Amino acid sequence: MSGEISSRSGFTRRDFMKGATALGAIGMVAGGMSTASGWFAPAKAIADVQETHCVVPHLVHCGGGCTLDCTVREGRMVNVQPVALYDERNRKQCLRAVGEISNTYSVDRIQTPLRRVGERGEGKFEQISWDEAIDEIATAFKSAQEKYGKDAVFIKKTIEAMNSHGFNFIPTYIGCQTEALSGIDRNIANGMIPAFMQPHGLAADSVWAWEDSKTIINIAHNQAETAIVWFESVAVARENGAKFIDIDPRFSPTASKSDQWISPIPGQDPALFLGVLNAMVSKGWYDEQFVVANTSMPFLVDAETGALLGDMEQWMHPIAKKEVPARIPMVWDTAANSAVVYSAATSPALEGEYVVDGKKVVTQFTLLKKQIGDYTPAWAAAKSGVAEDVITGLADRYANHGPAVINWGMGGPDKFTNGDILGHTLAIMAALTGNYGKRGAGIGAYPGGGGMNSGVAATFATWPTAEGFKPAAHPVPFFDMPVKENNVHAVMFFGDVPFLQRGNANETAAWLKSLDFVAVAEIYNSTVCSYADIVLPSTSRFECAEDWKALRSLFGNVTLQQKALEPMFEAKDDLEIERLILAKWGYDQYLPKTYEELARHQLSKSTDKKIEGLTFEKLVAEGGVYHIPSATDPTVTGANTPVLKTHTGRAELYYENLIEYGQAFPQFEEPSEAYADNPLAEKYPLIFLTGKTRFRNHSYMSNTPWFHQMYGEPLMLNPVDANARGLKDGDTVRVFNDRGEFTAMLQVDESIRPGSAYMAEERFLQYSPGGLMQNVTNSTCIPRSYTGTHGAQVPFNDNLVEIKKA
Amino acid sequence: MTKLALVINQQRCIGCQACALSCKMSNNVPDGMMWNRVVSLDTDHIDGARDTFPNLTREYLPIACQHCENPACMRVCPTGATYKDDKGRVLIDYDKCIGCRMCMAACPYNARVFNWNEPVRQVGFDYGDKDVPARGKGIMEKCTLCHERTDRGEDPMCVVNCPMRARVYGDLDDPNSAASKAAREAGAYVLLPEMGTKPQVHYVK
Amino acid sequence: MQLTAKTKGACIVLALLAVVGVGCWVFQLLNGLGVTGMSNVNSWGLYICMFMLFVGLSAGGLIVASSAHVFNVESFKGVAKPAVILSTVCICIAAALILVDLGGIQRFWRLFTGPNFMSPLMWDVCIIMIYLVINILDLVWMGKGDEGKVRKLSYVALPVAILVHSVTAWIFGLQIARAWYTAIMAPIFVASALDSGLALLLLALMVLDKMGLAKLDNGLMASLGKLLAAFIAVDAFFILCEVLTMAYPGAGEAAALSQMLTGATAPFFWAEVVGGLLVPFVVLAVAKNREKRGAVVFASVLVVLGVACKRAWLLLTSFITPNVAGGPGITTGTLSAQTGNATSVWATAGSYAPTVLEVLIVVGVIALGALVFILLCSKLLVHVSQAEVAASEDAVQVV
Repeated sequence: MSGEISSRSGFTRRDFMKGATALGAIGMVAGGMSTASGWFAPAKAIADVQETHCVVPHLVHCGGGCTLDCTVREGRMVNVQPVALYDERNRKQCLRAVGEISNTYSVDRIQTPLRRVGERGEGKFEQISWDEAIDEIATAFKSAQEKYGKDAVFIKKTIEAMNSHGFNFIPTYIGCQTEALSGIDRNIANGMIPAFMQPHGLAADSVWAWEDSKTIINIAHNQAETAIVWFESVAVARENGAKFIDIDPRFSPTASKSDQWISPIPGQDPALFLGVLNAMVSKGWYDEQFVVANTSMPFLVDAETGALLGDMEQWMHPIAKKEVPARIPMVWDTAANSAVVYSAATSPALEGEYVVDGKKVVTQFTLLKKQIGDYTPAWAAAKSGVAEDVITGLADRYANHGPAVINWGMGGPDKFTNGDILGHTLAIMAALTGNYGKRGAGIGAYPGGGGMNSGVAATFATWPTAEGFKPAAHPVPFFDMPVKENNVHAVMFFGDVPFLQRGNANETAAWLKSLDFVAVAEIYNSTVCSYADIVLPSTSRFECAEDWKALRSLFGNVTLQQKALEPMFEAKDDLEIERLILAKWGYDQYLPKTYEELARHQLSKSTDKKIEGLTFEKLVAEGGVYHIPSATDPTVTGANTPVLKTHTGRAELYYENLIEYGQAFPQFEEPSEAYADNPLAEKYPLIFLTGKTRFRNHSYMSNTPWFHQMYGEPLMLNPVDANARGLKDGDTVRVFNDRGEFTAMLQVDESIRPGSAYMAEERFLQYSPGGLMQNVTNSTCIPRSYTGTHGAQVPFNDNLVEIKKA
Repeated sequence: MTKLALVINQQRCIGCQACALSCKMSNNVPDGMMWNRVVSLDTDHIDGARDTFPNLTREYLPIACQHCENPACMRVCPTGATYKDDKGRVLIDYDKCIGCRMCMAACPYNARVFNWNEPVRQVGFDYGDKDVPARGKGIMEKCTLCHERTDRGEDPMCVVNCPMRARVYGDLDDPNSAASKAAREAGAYVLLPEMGTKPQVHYVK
Repeated sequence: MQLTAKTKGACIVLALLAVVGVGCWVFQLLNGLGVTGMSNVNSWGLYICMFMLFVGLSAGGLIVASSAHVFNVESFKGVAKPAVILSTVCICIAAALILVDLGGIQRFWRLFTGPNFMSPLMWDVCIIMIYLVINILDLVWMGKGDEGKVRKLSYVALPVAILVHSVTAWIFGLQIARAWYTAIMAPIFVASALDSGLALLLLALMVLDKMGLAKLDNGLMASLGKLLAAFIAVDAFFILCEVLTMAYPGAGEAAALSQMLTGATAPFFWAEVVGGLLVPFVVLAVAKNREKRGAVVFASVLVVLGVACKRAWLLLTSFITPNVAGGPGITTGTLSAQTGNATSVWATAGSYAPTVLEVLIVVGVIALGALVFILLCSKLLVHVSQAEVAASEDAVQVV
């Protein structure tokens, strides 16, 4: 039955779904029938039956964290709206919550455990029992571990799978490799961490505090599509007179809500902001007093070697959480006319060249001026394609017109190899103007409503690990496994990790095919399923075998996920899946037996004062949502004071550890591939950018018919580039480079910057008949990237392609 | 009198389609049609842009039944299926609709959708508000201002689910209602005033 | 009377077409109007085009017939009866086309239990019923040879015939939302009714003449042809008025006009202007052409086809450009939209092409009409050879 209706996906999915009944098919067949029934029946309400309401927190990693009030009628989810238990400001959801009705009942649901019968990648499966499936997984893991060592198995969950459930027990107990987030969208942050020692900049206040900003510089953050529930803060800020400046090569929905849209050439954001920084410094648009008192700018640097002056001491790195050597810097005290430890100086010099112990030394600020001296607005204009006066104007606006925010969105420049240079440049801009730690000012990644907004969330106790168990060492990050020597031979993924978390899908597919064993637990038939030996059906967030599921803390509330639906088909909850697998080792005894047991532990053993005394019973009695009484109003400045966790407590803007890369102060560097002078550009002249659409969360909701009816998944190209290639709207086009190719429907669109092409990131394989978009994306990290605190970052957007009619 | 209406702030609208899809959900609108939609004016695509790069503009306009004071659709309906209720809403008595589509031609806003076929719902069941009547093939339908919900004292679903709080629902005949106040704001206007339909739905630019 | 083998053959073909049409209509009833090419954007199509055409054709017949009495045009009296038969059949075809266009025909009775007299469609229902009654009465009285009643009825029939097409025009012309909104809509419709109705009457008379059921002498043909030329000129003049009014401000209806002149409906517009107005007018303007049967047939066919084209551009142009236009557009609600992706769900402009089924239904309705026409004529008209015609020198030779 299901095969008959899966015209979109052809044979692959037909075989995949074999033996199972697609729920969606019922509606199709019944609805499509010609009928005279009901001709004379009067229009009546569709149902007069009992309805129940359930509280279900929605997606985690859009940063939204909405909690949904799901109406269930006759065992089906029929309505989704924001939970009334939330305060008015947070009583929100986006279209993706509504789309869940269509998504949950999608024909792409994995219905039973499946065993591969064809080649990996072919997507041919047979239905097997849970017992068989679990047996095969355990046997494969055991044999891989016996053969190659314990670290031969690698288990990874998607952020969504990890964070909505809050556990990943198997690696700890079988001693295999695992990994949290790696390689994605932390490049700007990497470039900023040494300055402030905060993981995502100094976004101390929530976005709601932007109401007091005069300027919001929004870099590559298409909130109006991605972090939709937070975007009202921008509307409020604008209504209060803030100037919202959006920087994005593409005229995104967010750009159209800006007061000024600046479209740099993709990958040239560092050049743009080096030009802004140059303008600020050369025109004296900075707060000298603040700079001297709060930044490393007066610190002395050996003019010869670039090394900071001062003794070393051991220091606990607050993010890496390990002891590292750190300098006790020196400044030139004009009162004493000598170099002294920075904390002892009474009047430190901001600029100048001095001689200390026979060595020529300069202040960091003097060095900075020299370093960025060539990056004039005119130079930046030539590089970035943004007019010189716009660049100077941006500097003026940021420095001279009241509190300003710089917000970046985890995307765009983060997906180019030079994104860290942008992060570094922005850190200096903020430090020179003191645009943080005060009302209406801030710098950081604000997705999720503000980087440090976690102050309003509660911390739960973690489930204790039994004595003597721990995961194996994890020397090679996941995104490098296909290209770097490692000992992984058997893998299991919860969700589509491989095709979302690295570029160059052909490489990924080849690696998956080379492994001894691949298991996947998935709700939907995502791309990775085709490459699996065993696929296990997971429940969606709306389903649970128990009445209550995972605990979350969002928006100043503690939320207990309620069962809305019975597990569909043969799907099982992730906890049950982990228990079944670990039972084969006899380790299931260490796991919570139920979500309830886990939640009770998380609450009762929590040391967080904010939820002291909150019990499972109380949470249930409150309807699953408990408002944390001490949760601060996120708009109150100072609720989350930004603390610079650097060694000196100041903004440390000179990165001594990057001297060997020439990046102690930011030095412009082209992206690794996507730049005009790259000889490859003759063959592949277009920069291919990926982004996110409101109709998905990464690939999640790929299979939502309501969204398919709204959004045609086009590849977008400016008319200039389309005309040059003889392409027209609606054409099927082939996008290709040396890494691979895919096809897509072309949308000729003025909102795309000429010279670039855009497509929303990855759908499932069955919706990409001409190949995965990820086939053409870049997976090669540059060496400097590995020194970043967040680790190397995959340059997903650092791509050159050509486009032809398919 | 009561004159129920929506006031939509276009400055706030980000074209996210949450209102459109919420409407679809709550009113059990079948596949292939929408009562409420968000268009990017003067363009051919969803999120399309006007003019030429880089001098671009984009104007999102959520559009559904305008609940006109002088509804063109109601005048032309031969059976009185389309009527104005005592709260100022333009509604359809589905049992009276003969499917002649006079109203569809009469509506200047393309607000109406017709069940050309037996409705299809890929999810396989009726979703949304249980008080919303089912509509079969041959019947005209459109935004009802969620009258089943609002008669119970709830807001229309598009209002509830607008993440930008761009939509205000209320009674224009009550000068103190939020909707009345919003409709008096600077920049408030109605669509196609030259049609003389006097829409109750107002927009604020 | 006995039908000839040829006529019988034609009747069988027509009956078969009618049966196919009814079958298609039943299929449409079971599946919904989605089996047609119509959509939420272009919500009326071939049925309504043909409805407009046949109301006009009908009105034309009756206008000629009643003019014979009202204005005492003696030469017209001879063809009054076939004209009324034609008129009756055409109005039935028109009514049938409205019925097949209804999505909820099972609720048709609502028209009578809760009529909204504000609706031009309601007016049309009323006027068509009155008109039908007049036609039937006319036929009955003509059959009885009750000249006096026929004469009196003609005074009512003429304005009603004009009204029936005006009301049809007002279904469109009173819609402020569309480019149809113009006061000249009714005059254009009446003019179209006159020329197309007269043209069809000429054609019908020729057929009947061939069958020996009516007599169309060259003199009558020439005078009817002359009248037709005059009607064409009036029609052309009204169209010119409308186009000029649309074009002159360079605003407002400019979008619709550009579609008409150079866009999607331009082929229909120019086909009418050239093929339906200009060419037949030129042909009929030449006096000796009016006496050539071939030339008159040619001109008449062109006029009917031209008016059919006019129905298409008149109706469809207004559906092309939405008043509030923008991407992704309007949900089409079609069969392909129900199961398709965004491309088939949305349309930013109206487009329409009738489906085979739709065409078959229309053909079936027309075939049924033609069949009824033949049967009625053969029943109600007296064969020329059996008629007591005194003079035979004017008898028309079969061409």
